[in-house]
Amino acid sequence: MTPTRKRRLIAVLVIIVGVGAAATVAIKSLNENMLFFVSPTDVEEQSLPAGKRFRLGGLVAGGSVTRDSEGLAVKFVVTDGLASVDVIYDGILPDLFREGQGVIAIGELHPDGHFNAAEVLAKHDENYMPPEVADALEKAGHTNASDGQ
Amino acid sequence: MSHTPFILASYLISAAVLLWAALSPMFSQRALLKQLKNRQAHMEKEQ
Amino acid sequence: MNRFILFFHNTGSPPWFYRFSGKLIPWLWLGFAVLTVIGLYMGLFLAPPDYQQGESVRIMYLHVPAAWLSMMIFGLMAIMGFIALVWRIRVMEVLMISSAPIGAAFTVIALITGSLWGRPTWGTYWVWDARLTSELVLLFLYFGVIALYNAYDEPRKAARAASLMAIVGVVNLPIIHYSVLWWNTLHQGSSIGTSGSGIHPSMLWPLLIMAIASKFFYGANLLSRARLQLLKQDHRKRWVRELL
Repeated sequence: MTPTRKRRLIAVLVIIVGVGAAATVAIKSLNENMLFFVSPTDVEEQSLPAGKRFRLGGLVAGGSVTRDSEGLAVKFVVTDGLASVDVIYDGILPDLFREGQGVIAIGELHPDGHFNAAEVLAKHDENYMPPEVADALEKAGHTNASDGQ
Repeated sequence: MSHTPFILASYLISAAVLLWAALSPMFSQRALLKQLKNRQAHMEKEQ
Repeated sequence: MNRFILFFHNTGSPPWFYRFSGKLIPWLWLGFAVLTVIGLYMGLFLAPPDYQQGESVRIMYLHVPAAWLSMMIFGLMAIMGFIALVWRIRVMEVLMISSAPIGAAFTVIALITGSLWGRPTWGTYWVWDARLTSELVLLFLYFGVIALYNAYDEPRKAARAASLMAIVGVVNLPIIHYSVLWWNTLHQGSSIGTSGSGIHPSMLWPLLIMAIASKFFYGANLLSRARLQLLKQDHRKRWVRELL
């Protein structure tokens, strides 16, 4: 094979491998994460099987967080306004975790209907402001920015 | 969780990447010009 | 000849481009330095911490400009590649391929700073959501363009192949931009859009200044890379010999 042809061959291979890798990653992400998370309404409607791992997304319902007196176990309710799911989690919560915050819990449904979370991520929203401004907004009766979309 | 290590790491890594991006063409240019000048001097000597 | 056409014509001439860009580069670096000092001072010392993220919001002043620029550079590469393919302007080919490593560098910065922000804020370094995945695909596209260019001996053929890949790869840009709207993602939506900004002015100003500073970096770095590329290609030509 002449050096020129060899180079061309390498070029074609690079394209195939590159496009292939990009497409694989894209398809993987689209299939699995087209819906990065499912809402409590989806859980209610689709009657997901217990023991199947998925991501549950929604807001932490106000006043629903109860912490275990010993240990890290915490119970809270994830809601999307229409439906809600009880979540039990034993581990370290992210800094942003609080009532009214958007969260994504990764885990599975227990046969009795509650969600066993193995990991809890906090979703951030697109609002950035100093603490004083957030306080002032809250006092003025605006919905807290952390209520999410 | 303290945020300082994350902020510090972000700024240090970004600075390193930008420094590489900025300096690498400067060094290559210097080396190339030197090489070309040497070649030119060599060729003029031969003539 | 009309002044604009003359400028366009001159830009296409390597010796003229080499001289002109050599004069421009120090000014671009100066602009970058001044804006970065102002932007960093405002971002790190004047701007307040965020009400939710705390101090980690300061990573945004790197992350957002880098992410914007990573997309802008790829878009410019597609435009320059298109011009290079249609009009066969060599300086355009050189500008196109010289942009690739800079774009890749800013993509790396956006990915790493985003990851370092995600750990304290979300609770994880990385998730395979649509935004993060499509930005990673952008990095692979940059690598693809560079690898394809390097696979050819002849720089003009190499530039044409790489241009084609840049043009094809540009479909990824709307995917990155709209991923947060089209799919459920962990990554939040855009803070700055046509309907205004969700960022308080005390944080928005340093962000915008850093964003402009990053464009100066791109300009200066692009011209020095393009000059190097021209020297390499033309080292046997008369204008380079006269330059020495």
